[in-house]
Amino acid sequence: MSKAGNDMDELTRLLRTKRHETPGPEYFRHFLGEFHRYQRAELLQPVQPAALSWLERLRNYLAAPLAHPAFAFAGGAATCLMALGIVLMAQNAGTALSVADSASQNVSGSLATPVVYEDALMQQPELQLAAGTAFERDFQGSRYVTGQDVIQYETGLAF
Amino acid sequence: MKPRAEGEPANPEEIADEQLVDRVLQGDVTAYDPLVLRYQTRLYSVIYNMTSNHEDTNDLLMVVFDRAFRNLSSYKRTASFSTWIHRIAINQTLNFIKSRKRQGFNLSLNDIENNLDPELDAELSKIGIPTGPEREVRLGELQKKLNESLQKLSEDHRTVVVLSDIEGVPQVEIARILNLSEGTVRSRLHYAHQQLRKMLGNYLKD
Repeated sequence: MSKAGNDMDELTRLLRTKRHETPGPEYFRHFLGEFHRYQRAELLQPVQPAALSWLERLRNYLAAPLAHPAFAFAGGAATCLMALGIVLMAQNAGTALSVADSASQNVSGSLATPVVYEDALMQQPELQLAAGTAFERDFQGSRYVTGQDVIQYETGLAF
Repeated sequence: MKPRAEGEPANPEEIADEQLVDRVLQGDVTAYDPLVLRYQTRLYSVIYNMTSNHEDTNDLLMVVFDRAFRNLSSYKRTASFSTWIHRIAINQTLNFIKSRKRQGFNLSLNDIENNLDPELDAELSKIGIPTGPEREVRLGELQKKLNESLQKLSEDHRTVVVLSDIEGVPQVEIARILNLSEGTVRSRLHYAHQQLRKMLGNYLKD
């Protein structure tokens, strides 16, 4: 007999040993009783509407691929993109809303309230000097500074 | 209990499957019990060899018998009851295996108790596993290797190997159960054998 034929016989013999891989006669002696119990338990289960079970199966089918490690990264990336998209859309919607509000004010001709811009860059801070500081003492009246000494300037004689 | 018709055999084991089905459909639900007893071992073996897990097999076997019972009225006599219930078992098992795969289930091969009998002893001697203290160890290794190899096959190929090589179902019948042509069954079997020969090379004699 050829080698392939011998291999085939050996393979069949090997696989046939799996026939004996059973849980034993005790298991099968009790199986019918267990099956009756199972059927009775099934009868007590609340009947699920067909549409609901269909939705459940659809949800499982759609959710299952994301649970697979190969799709985990894709699923995570898609979730992040969706979140980013929602944030951007919300921001755009906010800007459009304020423009629309001001436009509606102009259209209605309401000029009673002037628009007040409270821009921090437009506010000029005033120089607040504490009384009695060295800087204040030095600048009492107009003076020129030449070298190290402060020279008194007589305003009346200047021009 | 429905009175026995004239000429009907007293022993349920002698009654044909189709007759038992008729009796169930006529309201004698106890007539389903002999069908369960008749098919439990065969279906257990088919399901177990496809899943390699005892717990899963037990659950699936319950579901299969329950589903068959509930759908008995839809059983058409174009195929035998055996073909019909095997088809239910295989479809149910394949669906289960697919969902298990999607959920990233890690296969756990269970240490099923081997029921050693003289027939098995003879088969083991033929494949070079001696009797004696090391037998259990060698048998355990072989069982693990066989299960792993079967699980590496695709579901389609595993199904034909289980039905043909392990269960000894004729190819014509396998074609009927799986709703395939005989040529497809033969081709799948040929490819599966090639794969298994590669995987089980160490256990095959030169």
